[in-house]
Amino acid sequence: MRPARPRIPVTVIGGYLGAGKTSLINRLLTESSSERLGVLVNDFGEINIDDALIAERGVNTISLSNGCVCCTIRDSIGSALDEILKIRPLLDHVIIEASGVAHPAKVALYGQGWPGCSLNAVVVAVDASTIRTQSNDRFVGSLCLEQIRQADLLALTHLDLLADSQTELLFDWLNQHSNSATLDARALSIPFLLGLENTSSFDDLPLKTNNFLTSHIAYAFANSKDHLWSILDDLPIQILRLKGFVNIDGSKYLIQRVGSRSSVEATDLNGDGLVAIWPADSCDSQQVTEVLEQLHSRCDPPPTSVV
Amino acid sequence: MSELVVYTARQIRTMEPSMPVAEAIAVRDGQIVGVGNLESLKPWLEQERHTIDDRFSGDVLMPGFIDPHLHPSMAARLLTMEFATAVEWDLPWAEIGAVSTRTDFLDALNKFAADGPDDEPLFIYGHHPRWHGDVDRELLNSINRQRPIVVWHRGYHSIIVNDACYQWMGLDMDSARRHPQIDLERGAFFENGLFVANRHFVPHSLEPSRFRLGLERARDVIHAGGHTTICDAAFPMYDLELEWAALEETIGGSEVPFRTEFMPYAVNTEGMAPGDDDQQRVDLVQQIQSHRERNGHRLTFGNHVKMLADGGFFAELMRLNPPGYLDGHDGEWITPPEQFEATARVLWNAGFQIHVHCTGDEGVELALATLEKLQWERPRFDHRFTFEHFGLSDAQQVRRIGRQGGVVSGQVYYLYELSDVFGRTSIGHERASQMTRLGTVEREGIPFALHSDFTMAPAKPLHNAWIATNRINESGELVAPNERVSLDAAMRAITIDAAFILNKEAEIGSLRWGKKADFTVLNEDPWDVGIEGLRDISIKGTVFEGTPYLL
Ligand SMILES: [Zn+2]
Repeated sequence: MRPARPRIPVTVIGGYLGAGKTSLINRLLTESSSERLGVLVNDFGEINIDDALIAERGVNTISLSNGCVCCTIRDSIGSALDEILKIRPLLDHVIIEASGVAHPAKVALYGQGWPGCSLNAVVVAVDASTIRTQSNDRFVGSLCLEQIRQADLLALTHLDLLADSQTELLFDWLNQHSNSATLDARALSIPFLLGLENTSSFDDLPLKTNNFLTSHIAYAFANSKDHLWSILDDLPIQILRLKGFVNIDGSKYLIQRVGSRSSVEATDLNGDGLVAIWPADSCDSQQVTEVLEQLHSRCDPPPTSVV
Repeated sequence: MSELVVYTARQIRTMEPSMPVAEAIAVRDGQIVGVGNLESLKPWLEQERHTIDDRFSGDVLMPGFIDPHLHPSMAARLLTMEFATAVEWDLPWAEIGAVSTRTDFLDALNKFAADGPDDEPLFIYGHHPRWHGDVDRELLNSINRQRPIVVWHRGYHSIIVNDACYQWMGLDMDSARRHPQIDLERGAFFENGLFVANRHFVPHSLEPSRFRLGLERARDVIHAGGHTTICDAAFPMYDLELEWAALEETIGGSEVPFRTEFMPYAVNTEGMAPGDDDQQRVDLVQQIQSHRERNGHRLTFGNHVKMLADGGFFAELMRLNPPGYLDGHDGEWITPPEQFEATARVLWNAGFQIHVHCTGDEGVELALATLEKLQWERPRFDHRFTFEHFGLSDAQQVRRIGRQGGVVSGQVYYLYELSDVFGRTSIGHERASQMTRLGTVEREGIPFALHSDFTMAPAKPLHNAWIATNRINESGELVAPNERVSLDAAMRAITIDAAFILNKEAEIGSLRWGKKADFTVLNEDPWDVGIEGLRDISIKGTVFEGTPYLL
């Protein structure tokens, strides 16, 4: 058997035509500075990158001067993924643009088991100004609702077109149709999806558009993995991101949560503590802190050294 | 000018209503000079040098059969595998009986595994738990530990492999273990997990000599079905140039007993978007038309173009009008409806004959609503907008198809294989029993063809005609008898009406002066044996453009 190779985190961006997937991807591609991003898109025609940022343009690949690469999906997602995984040094993160009619959960399977990949999250872009009409469409209404149901994180586009009262109605409506956290697509960034390395601070995150709250604990412990999962399950669904380290029986685990998707994996990375982030107006800190405090309640001394 | 050859036969069924039966047919240079009997052909025979060929004097001649929708390149991949299926596949290169018990299946596996060298991966097609019981990795290991073995499910949607296969694939076990649709313990790969396996298998099966062997076998199967014209209904399937080179070499040569019309895909991505500009429209049209530069004698591109509405029928991904599936899952769109319409509009306005793969009644609805809209915007006569497969529909839709001038190319094998099981487990008995509603199509006077979609169903036009006229499914149940079609309509659907759907009815599909001398040679007359006997008629060979190719 081969030794486990490092796996590249994969984020799926789904949503129906016109939901704003492409502009979201355009922005992630060009904004990325520290992370080298690989992006699989259905059609270059839509991708609109400033010529000054383009290092090399091929038939099916565009390389950016910031180290990011954009590839078209021609035959299949699998073969495009294989191409992009060949790039050395390895990319930091892969984004797959699901086709407008795809079920994002099916595309997510590429993250779950394709050689070399791991699934980070399923983000579904939703056009705040049209989704409620679209959900009644003769042909695609049920598809749009299904896409929303399959999201870990809903990224709302065109929120600026809505009056406050409409926004409120929309959030009520979304709550009826999904169990995932919702954020303004303008606040979605690569550091946000991937980062949070510095668990005590969100200063470096471009969270300009929303008012976000965070909660942080310096050391986290759980009695067992089951115990940990039960605590994670208690967190309000509005939590957008959670990242950090939890000690269980002297072993260290990396916790990642993007929207409603959580993963817990043994790790030998250095780090301590946990941080959570959520939109300020969605739930109060008290509620989140109470849950996270359960991970802090065991009064073992913090480990002095980390293997 | 070559001399005339006059074929005489026990019976000739011309499919020409003005003279439905004949006894002799005079041919020159691949073309029919005249049809009738030796007496009525005299004016020709007195004038021209001729020979009388009576080799078919005990047989029945029909116009060469036409399958307007199958996939040679897809068949090529399947046909290099070994077959062990519960239904009989009489493959021209091998006697393969039905393998319908566990013992027979294991015997077949053992025999195949012992038959080749250990470094040659073994692919076996046709496992079905209902007949063969469960098969897993350990069982395959016990058959052969050295030779990679891959057992394909009858429905193509899952495989079982042994340890040697893991080795051969160089499978990344760590990733595979995490995959929700790979079960390493059982050796099972399904759905998306199958894509992981195909990553290793596709290059193997498309390796040029193997792919060509597969295409040669597809050629022999097509000939054995009695076809003289087929349509490759999705081109390209794999790499365009590699595929074309292999096709030219295997089914493009002057010794091949049939011609192939190609139906290129409109686009291989999502197609036109509603806001696309004129240049993109021009590009789309040119891209499709540019294939015509490839036209030769056997292989041609005409005015056809293929579009895709909803998902596959066998995979239960067709879109359903409400109420949906019993289990509440949703079918899938292949093309987003807005892009479907935008693309169809460009193709319609450019004058193409559009063929839409539509399987569920909502898929049919999308195609139909689009057709209605395009007719309103820019009416066209005789456009032959074709509803391909036509798995589910309702009677009101059929009437609308007729009023808009649409035509149907129906897949009747659905109702043979799936009406029973889908009725119980997928969509309920009522809708399932009315699959491929061709009786209504006939009553509405809509031209229709029958196709095999090979490899989805065997490439046997007479078997399809048997299903369409009898509507008896695999379980022996008579389903929606009012949707049976007449014998005449079924025979037209594999000859002259199939030619109509390929826009070739002036050249092929019936026997009269001036048409191509394409015949299918049968041992019995379909009108003598009646609908019950259609599937038992044997094909003795074909005549393609005047040259006999006997089986
Ligand atoms: Zn097909």
